[in-house]
Amino acid sequence: MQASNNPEKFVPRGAIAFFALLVVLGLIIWFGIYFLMLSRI
Amino acid sequence: MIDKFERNVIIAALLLSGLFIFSLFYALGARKADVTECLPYDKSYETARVNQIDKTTYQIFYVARMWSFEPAITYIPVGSEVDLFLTSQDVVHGFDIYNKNVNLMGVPGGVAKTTVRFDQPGVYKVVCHEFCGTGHQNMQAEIIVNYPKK
Repeated sequence: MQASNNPEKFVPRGAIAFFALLVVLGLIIWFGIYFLMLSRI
Repeated sequence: MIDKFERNVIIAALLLSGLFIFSLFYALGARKADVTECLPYDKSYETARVNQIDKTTYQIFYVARMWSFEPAITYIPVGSEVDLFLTSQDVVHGFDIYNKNVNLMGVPGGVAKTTVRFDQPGVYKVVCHEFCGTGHQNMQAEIIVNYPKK
């Protein structure tokens, strides 16, 4: 697959996917600790 | 004109921040999570004691020092609601009840207070989790909640 040379149509799919994965990882860690602490009340 | 990717990231960040803030208020309101308080210091907090307010309401005044907590062992019934007060007589100590949502700092000249409810019988270990010297690893106490079950 050849990368597009047209900068107007460039979509940073890899960066978007990586960002989304980081957000999901952050959510898992944050809510993992959150529900663990709620269960200990 | 803002870039569409930048706009989407800003919207996602705002939505996530809103979710986190809503979750915090849910824990504080609907689930009644307690927030640790710092009380004005008074010499009377340096006397370790347990007060029974009614059948299932207690106050425990903990005093931390190198390297023990006083009272070291406390017996309370199942379903008790306990107000914990903590101060230190020497250096900064930690106060963590295993498997409970309690994490206090014992600071000399300061008083930390929180409220915790014990609905399950058992032996709840309290440990110091702030390094306080050579005997730090032995610094612990126990809250015994109607154990063995009667």
